[in-house]
Amino acid sequence: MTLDQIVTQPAEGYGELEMKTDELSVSFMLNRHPLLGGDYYRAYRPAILASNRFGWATSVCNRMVKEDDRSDGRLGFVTASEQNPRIFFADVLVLRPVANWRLDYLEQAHAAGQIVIADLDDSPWDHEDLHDPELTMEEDYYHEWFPYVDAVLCSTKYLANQVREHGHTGIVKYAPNCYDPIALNADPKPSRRMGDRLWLNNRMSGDIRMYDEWVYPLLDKLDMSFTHIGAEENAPESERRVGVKSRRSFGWDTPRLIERPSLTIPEFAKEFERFSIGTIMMDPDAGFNKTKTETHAFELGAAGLPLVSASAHELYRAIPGTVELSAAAVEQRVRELLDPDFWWEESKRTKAWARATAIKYESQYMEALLSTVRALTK
Amino acid sequence: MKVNLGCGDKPCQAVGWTNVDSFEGVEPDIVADVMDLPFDDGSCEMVYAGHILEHLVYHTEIGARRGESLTSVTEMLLEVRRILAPYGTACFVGPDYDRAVNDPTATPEQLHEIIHGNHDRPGAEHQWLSTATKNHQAIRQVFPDAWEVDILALSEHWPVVYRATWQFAILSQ
Repeated sequence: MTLDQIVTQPAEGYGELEMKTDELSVSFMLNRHPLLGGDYYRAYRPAILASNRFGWATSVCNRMVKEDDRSDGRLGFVTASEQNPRIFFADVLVLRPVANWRLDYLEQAHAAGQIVIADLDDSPWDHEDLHDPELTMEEDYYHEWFPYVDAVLCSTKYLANQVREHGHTGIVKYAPNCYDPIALNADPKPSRRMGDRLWLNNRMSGDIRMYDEWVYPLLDKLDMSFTHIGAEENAPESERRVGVKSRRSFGWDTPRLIERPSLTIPEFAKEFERFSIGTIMMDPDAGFNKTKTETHAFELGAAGLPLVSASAHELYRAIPGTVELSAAAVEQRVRELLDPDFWWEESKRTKAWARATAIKYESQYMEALLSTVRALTK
Repeated sequence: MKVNLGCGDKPCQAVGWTNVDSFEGVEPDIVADVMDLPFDDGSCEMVYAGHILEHLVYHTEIGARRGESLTSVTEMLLEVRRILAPYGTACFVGPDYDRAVNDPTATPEQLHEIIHGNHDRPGAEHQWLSTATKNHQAIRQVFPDAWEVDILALSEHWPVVYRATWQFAILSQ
């Protein structure tokens, strides 16, 4: 079909179709850019797919309309467009872990008949400021309203169980990340370049130590380079915590380190092609890591990068390239991947695993979203 | 390779799919019996089987206890497992009588066809009353981790002919 046909056909071919007037509307509130990380997999893609598959009117938003003199009426979520923003007074509001949303907003939404679903891909109970009395608590009001939402969608079964154990009385569903089976496809080649995309912050200090001790020595030893996507010069002042070294780049003193800034997910494939081995180091003692999804492995694997994955995480056991938690095991795996024939086989195997994971998770996410909304709107 | 089994007269036109049917008259890419597919072991990344299982003889518990040989539903599923690549995904879609009978918009004629199939050509009639539960039981004998999703939640990548909500969808890897 040509563009001309698409443009002209509605008058002829689709004349009998009518605009739906009773369609359900669903707004997803972002906490970052729609093409970054969790917001891409758990808001942007679901919004597109739900519109296409379920016939819902969907939007992704980053602001809320607040009328100072009114405390009733529906809450309006505003689309992320700077040039052409639109306000949606949706039937269903899906909230990513946004800061500064409050209990009175939730109460107003409920009073106006709006359904509120919390979307969770990160444990609110495993942040370092809850465990370390030396650290300043981040006041984001999340814990005030979260217990009263109508439903919670959780990215892992571990997280869903955690929510249930904390006594949440709403619907709690496992809804894995809505990965795209195709979009990250790339065509990397075997070479002596490792890499990862990592948004480093305080809670990853254990992971960074593993990179320092297990990966960094391999650069000289095996004549390799390492690309870090997600580097920043310094952590912003607002994110610095007492007693914890802020770090947003590996800072290795070697020209073998290539540090690149953060990228949106659609930009990953092109950048991943520049290296050949994806590395994942996960500190087994970090509570925060227990709630992690397979996103790192999926993204690198979908691009065709074989993995060196040092992780004791349950979800990582089935991932191609997961090795024992030791420097020797990491080195052995890297050495094996320097053989081009073995690399090609592992590249294919990892890509196949990533695609299968995406097919499975996408269907499971959409199923969870659909059944939750149905249960709350019937 | 991506294979659309039992494509009938509505073959998948998307790039990369190979349409298979046992009935030459529908002009599939490959004419083959689903019990004996002309593909190598582990060669198919995606296998779609829409509205096939209910046309085959269903495995019965009584038959299994009597030591009867494999029934054709199980045989077909084993054949799908044989051709499925490591990390491949198979998708089974078919009528779910439980959903249809609870759908107020379903007409008696539609329910009749869901129960009996049609007699347009040999093999088009249904051999048993197809429900999601019964299909899931059969599929899990061969694919223990198979999971059901709502037909609407199924990816656009699968060559589903109609997204009618009286159908079940079961994925397996």
